[in-house]
Amino acid sequence: MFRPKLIVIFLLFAIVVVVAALFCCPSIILPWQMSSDDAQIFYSLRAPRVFVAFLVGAALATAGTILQSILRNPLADPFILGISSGSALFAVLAIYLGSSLFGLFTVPLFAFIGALLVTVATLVWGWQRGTFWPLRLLLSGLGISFFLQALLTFILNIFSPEGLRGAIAWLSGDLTMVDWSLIPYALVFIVIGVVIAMVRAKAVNALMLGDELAITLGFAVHRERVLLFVAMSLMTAAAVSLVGIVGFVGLITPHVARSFVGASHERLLPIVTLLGGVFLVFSDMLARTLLHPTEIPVGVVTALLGAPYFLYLLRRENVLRQ
Amino acid sequence: MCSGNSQPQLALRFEHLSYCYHKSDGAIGDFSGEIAAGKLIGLLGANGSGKSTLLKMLSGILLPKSGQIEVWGNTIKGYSAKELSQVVSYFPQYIDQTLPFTVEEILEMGVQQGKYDFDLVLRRVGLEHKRKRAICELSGGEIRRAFLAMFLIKGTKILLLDEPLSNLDIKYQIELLKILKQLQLSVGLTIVMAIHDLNILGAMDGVMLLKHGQVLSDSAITEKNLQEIYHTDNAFIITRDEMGECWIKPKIRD
Repeated sequence: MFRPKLIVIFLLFAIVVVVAALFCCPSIILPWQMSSDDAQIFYSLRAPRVFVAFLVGAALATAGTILQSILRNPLADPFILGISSGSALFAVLAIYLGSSLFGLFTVPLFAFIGALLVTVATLVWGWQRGTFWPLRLLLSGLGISFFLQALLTFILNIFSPEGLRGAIAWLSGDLTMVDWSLIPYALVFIVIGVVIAMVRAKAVNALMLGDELAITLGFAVHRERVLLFVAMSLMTAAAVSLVGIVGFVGLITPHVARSFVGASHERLLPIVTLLGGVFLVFSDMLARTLLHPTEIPVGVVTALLGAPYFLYLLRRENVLRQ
Repeated sequence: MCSGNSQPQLALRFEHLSYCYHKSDGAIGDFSGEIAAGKLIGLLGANGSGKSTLLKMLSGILLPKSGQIEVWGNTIKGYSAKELSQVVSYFPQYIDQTLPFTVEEILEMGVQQGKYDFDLVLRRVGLEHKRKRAICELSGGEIRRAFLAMFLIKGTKILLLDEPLSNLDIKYQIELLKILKQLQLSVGLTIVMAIHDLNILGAMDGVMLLKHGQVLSDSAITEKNLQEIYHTDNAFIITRDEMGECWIKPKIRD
C-alpha cells in the first residue's frame, strides 16, 4: 500500500517541524537578522539539540521497526522489551564507575553491552516450546524493564550528585542532559545500525514470513537475526547514551510509516528513520515550549502522545493470538 | 553446479535420513527413497509418520542427523543456501494469515534479479485482480496461490508442499490442485505434496507411503498398505476407473 500523497504531506510536515523547531520555538530567531546573542543560542544550543533529537528519534524508530518485524510482534520496541533500560543501566555504570576503558566510546559501548544482554535475556524468557509467545515476550520485557529501572534509580540515588533528579532524567529521557562530546561516537553507532538495517531490508522481509519461508528464499535466518539484533542494539545504545530512556518512538512510528508506504522494508526503513527523527524533534519542540520557561522531559511528551496510541494498537492488532 | 540445466532422471534421492528433534529422544526416522523428475507425487502417512520432517530435510530447512540427500543430481551439501533455494522450495502448512504485505510485495521477495512480469505469473495462479491486495485480506486458498506465484518467480525446480489442501473448501482444493497440475505440465515442476485426503490420490502420478519414519518399499495403493500406514484394520474399498484413476473409500458400516 504505497500512498504517494501521504508521503508528500508527511515530507512537507517534516520540513515545517524542523524549521519551527530551529527558528520559532520557544523564541523566534530569524536567520537573516540574528543578534550575537541569538547566534549564540542558535548555534550552541538549539541547532545541536534539534540534531540530537532527530538522531535519537531516527535510531529508536529504526530499532523498533527491526524488533517488530523479526519478532513478528507489532507491540515490540526497545522500551517495552526492557532493552533501553538495560542500555541506561550500563551507561550509568560506565559513567559512575568512572571507567574510560575505551575513551569516549566507553559509555555507548557499555550501553550496547547492556542492550545485547537484555535482548538475550528477554528472548530467553519469552521463548517456550520452540516459539516466542507474543504475550510472554512482552511481559518478560516489562518484568526485566521494571527490575532494571529500579536498579538504575537505586544506583543513581547513591552515586549521582543530583540524586533522584538525575534518575528521573535517565528514566524519562532528557535532551538537556546531552553530553555534546558523545555525539560523534553515538553517531557512529547509529549510522552503522541504520546501514545494516537498510542493507538487510530483504532479509527482514523474509524473516517476517517465518523461518521456513525465509530459508526457502535462501536466507541464513540465524545469522541474519543475530546481525539485526546487533544493529538494533547499537541504535538503542546510542540513543540511550545521549538522552536516557525515551519510550514509544520505536513503538508507534513503524505503524504510522507502514500506513504511508506499506510493510516492505526496502521502502519502509528510509521513511521510518525520517519519521522517527521528525517525531522526536516535534516532541522536543513541545517539551520546551508548552510550559516555557520550564522544560518537560522529552520522554514524558512521547509517552503522552504514544501511550494512547499503544492502547489503540492493543485493541486493533490481535497480538494475543497464540 | 556441474549438471547445469540438463534435467536429471531423479529430482530427489535420499538414503537413511534421520532427524533429531530433542537430544533426549534420540534420532527418528530412516527414510530412503527417490522422486523422479517432473512428477507429481503424493506423500501419504498417518500423523507423526514423518511427512513434514522428511519434506523439511529435503528442502534444507532441517539438517538431518545422518544420511544423504541428492537434489537434482548433486549432493545437498554442495549447494549454497542461495543456490539450493533456486532448486528446491518448501511450502509450509501454516502461513501467517495476518501478514501486512500486499501480493505484489510478496512477489517482489521472490525476484532474484532484474525485472519480472508479475501479471503473467499472477494469471497463472488466478490472482490477476488481487495484485494490490494485502495478504490479510485474502482467503486461505488465495494466500497459498500468492506464495505459489512467489516460488515461481524465485525459480524452483522442485516444490515440496506440506498439506497444501488442509483447511480449504473443496472449491479451493480443486483450484489449487489444477494449478499445481498445470505447473507440472507447463513449467516441468517436480511436485511432492503431503496429503491426508485420499480422494485426491487420483490426481497424483504416484505416491510415497510413510510409516514410522520409513518409506514403504512397496508404494502400491492396496488395502493392505493403507491399513499398514494408518495403523488400522478397517477395510478399504479401492476401485479403478477405465482411465486408471483410483477411488478409495474406507468401509464404515459393517
